[in-house]
Amino acid sequence: MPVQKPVFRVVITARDRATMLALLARRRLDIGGSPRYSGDGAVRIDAYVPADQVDALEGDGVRVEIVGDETAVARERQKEVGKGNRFLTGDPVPRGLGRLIRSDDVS
Amino acid sequence: MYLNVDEVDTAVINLASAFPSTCSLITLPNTTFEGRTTHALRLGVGAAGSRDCVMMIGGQHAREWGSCEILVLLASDLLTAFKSNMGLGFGLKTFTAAQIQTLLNELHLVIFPMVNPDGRHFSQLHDPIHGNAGWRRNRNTKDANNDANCIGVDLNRNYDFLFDLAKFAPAANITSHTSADHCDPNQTYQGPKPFSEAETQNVKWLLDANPRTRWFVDVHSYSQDILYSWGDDNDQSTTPSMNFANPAFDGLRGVNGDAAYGEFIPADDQAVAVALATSFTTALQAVRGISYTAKSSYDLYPTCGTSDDYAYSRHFTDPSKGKVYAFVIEWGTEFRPAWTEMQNIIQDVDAGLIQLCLDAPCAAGLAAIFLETPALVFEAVPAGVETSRAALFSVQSCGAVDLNVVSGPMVTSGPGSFSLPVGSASLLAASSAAERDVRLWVSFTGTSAGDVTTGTMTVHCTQTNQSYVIPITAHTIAQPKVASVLVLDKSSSMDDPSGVPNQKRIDVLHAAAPGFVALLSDADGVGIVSFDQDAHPVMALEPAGALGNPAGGRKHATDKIAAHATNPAGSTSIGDGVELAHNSLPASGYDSTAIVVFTDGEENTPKLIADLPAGLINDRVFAIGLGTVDQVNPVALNALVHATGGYLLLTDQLGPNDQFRLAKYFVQIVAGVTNAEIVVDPQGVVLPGAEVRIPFDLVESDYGADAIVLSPFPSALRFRLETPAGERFDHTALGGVTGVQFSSGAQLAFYRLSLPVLVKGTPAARGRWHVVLSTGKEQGATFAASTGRSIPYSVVVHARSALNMDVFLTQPSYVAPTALDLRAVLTEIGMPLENRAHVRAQVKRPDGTTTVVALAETEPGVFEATTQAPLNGVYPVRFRANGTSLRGFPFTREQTRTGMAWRGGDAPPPRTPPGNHELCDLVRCLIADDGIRRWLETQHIDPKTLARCIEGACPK
Repeated sequence: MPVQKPVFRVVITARDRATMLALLARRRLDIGGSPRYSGDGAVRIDAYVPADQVDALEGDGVRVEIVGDETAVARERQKEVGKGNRFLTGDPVPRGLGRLIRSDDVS
Repeated sequence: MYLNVDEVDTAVINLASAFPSTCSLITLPNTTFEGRTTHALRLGVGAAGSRDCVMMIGGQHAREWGSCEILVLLASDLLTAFKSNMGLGFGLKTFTAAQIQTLLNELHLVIFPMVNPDGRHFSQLHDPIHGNAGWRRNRNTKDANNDANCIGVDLNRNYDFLFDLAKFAPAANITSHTSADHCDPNQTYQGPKPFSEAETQNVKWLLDANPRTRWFVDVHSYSQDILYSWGDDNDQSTTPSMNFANPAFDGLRGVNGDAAYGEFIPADDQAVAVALATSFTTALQAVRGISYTAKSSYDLYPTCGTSDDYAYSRHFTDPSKGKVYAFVIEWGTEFRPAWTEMQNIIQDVDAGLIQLCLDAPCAAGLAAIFLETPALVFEAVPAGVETSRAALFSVQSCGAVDLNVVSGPMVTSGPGSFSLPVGSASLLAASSAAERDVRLWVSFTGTSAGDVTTGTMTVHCTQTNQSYVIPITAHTIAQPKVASVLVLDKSSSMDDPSGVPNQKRIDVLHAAAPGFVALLSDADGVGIVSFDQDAHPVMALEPAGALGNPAGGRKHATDKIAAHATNPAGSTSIGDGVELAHNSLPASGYDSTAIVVFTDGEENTPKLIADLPAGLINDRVFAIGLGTVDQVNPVALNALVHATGGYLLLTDQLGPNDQFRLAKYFVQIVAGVTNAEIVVDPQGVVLPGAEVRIPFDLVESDYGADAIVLSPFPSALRFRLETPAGERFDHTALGGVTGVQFSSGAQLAFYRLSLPVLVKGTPAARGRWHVVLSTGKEQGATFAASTGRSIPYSVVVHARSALNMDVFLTQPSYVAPTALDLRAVLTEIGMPLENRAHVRAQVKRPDGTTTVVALAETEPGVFEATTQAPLNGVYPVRFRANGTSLRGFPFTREQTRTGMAWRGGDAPPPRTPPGNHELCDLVRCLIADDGIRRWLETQHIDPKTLARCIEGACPK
């Protein structure tokens, strides 16, 4: 089994749309979420980048900030996945998270 | 804890079992690459397809785990609350029990929570692989070449919407988020072709299986957005032709903010999408204060092949598919939040989805109005004729909508005027904001040929405070004129008895056909050809000319009809006659052309009608058959008239009291040829010394009328007209009367009115008129003494009118037992005559019985019914409409058609078989020669017998 290299969640900030588009054309990035825009014209996106490729993203007009280790997050989340089939062994019907209310109050 | 794939599927199945009266299980037909079967749910009461539908899908992208939980738990909450008649609360956002009841009573929710179980399974159970932050695609290994990075297709790029990446501009960099490379690390490989994947095929199947889907939501993460169409480029609502389906824009799409391309979205659709997206975000924020953004899908870069754009695009390319407002939810701020946070997000999104569903039917209270006709154009309005055009608005609103004309319609240049025949337009409140059309009618009366009239109108919507300025243009043309050729049979059988005492068939034709010519308009053209085994030109086309003109085409044609003689050795080649008539008609100079065929028998000599080259006859063909359906055997003639927009009338066997039938058929046909309306068509007798008043109604849309009397003894009748005001006038003394002409012939007389008629300075037009027939005692007594009868008459009134009835009689078969499908379409100044008329059809069966069939108004102005034709024979059907005009005046309209059934009625039209016909044609030609016939008689050979032998021997 190959050595697992971590994948980092990074925030890439480009000085403007054109710079970001040029970066995306140049680098095939696994992107998450929608672009975000600052008043100064800068554009930010989330990307999921192998650890050894993060530095290469930095460049003229492009800054990269590591905000998390997605590999570690993924492993933690996998512990929160049910095992077996709870609807075969326990209550057969899933219970929603809304609360039943009797009054006709509407907010 | 998050649900694994087995749990999601079991939860869905168990919900259906637990709530059988409000939840149905749907099994998707396509198994995934790894062999999994997926399921969806239909929530709501009522049978499938009985309600509009909200469709919600989730789990297309494997790592976006929470989408499945959002939808499964939403279903559970709604079903539980509905069953217990309770409300639902999510944080500070609550819904009443009544709202939940309304939701599942009035809508269906189709919920497909786990589109991509293979991907979810992999994402949940396997370590993130090198370079991959969590699986996004499905698990199709077909093109992977054993490279783990190359497995799978991005399902939300696999839909059939702008799948061809070449349709995007190079500068758009479409591949940054939609890739043709199955190893692309951005995990957006679109697949080899649209709907290549079982998972997307399932979503398409679900949309096709639920045609009443009107809203579609695809649940994804992340960004805290709700997105609406489009994702391929910026939205624009000004240029409809700039759209995804137009190849003229290939290679130009996807560049942000450029002028080269923007994706067209109707403004009212965009308004609805924004309104519903805002409903979602508002309700979501009420839960615990989280703010989501409503915006169009296109952002920094374009996408294609997405589920939402596909869903919304369907109705543009296939109007049979209903419009689907489509949304994408991007929940949360990461793909896989901790379960504690995910539970909060589930409540946020479920509240938003419930609110969206509640607001969807009424588009969140929005009244979205779109003017479909930015300009009104009256093209080709005949001078003196009033017609209407409608400004069409499409409205999406549950509330009432009032569209008021606040200015105009007024003329800005040119002659004439515009008016509002039915005033402004309104829509009542409705339970759904499904799109409805509202028409605001404007009328115009043609002025003089060549005139161009321009104008404008301003319409204001009370509810939206929007105003619409609509330019109007009208073009007036001359009254249309028609060129028609009579095609008259002269075969030997025309000397046979007609059934009317002392009258051969040729005699009945002589009496009846002049009525057609007499009633043409002055500018119409008329010509005549005759046929036996060949066709013969009789009279070249010439204008009918003014009434009473002794040198006009009308007189010439009447004389030619009188001289029309039988060929005692003649057979019947209707095909030759029709072909010659067609060749006699001019290619230009008339607005339409018509051929009127008269025959008493079955075609038996080439050319047969079916021998004519396909498409040759582009004239309207009408036909009158004298005789029974077996005698005429009109298989080919019937096919020809139906193919050209005409019709066939069969007289059936004439009897002693049927002296008018053929004449009335010619009078009816001329109305069909000239597009006149038949107002009434009664018949009766006038007793000696008596007076008969036959009423007929004219309405404001009638701009001319012919009041026609048919009688075998017209000199015994005094024929007058009485205006609605009671003024009578006689053709023998028309002083003080203008707008009236009179013409008479051997058995027909008529007044031609140009409305309004002025009688002693008083205009007479709409209202109840009367034909007044009387006879002096001496005249009547003389007639009665010589004939033993009172004076029979038939009155027909034609109107040149903008209140029109078109009738259609079609049959599934021409062999009894069969059915007669009856249809009548009523319009007034171009508008459907809605809820203002009744139509009945009097059907006379071959056994002499009569039935009256009421036609139901199945659409505005469209009346339909079916009646049975159990016997072979002729079925005269008299359509009669009664109603009130726009301005409330009573009107009538009549037309006659004949249904028919006979043995062999469904046979294909006969064609001349290939073979040597020259000898037969030679012998026929010889027998037609007078000299040869006389010589044969000297040899004691009967030419008629010889002719029959030849017809029996020659191939048919």
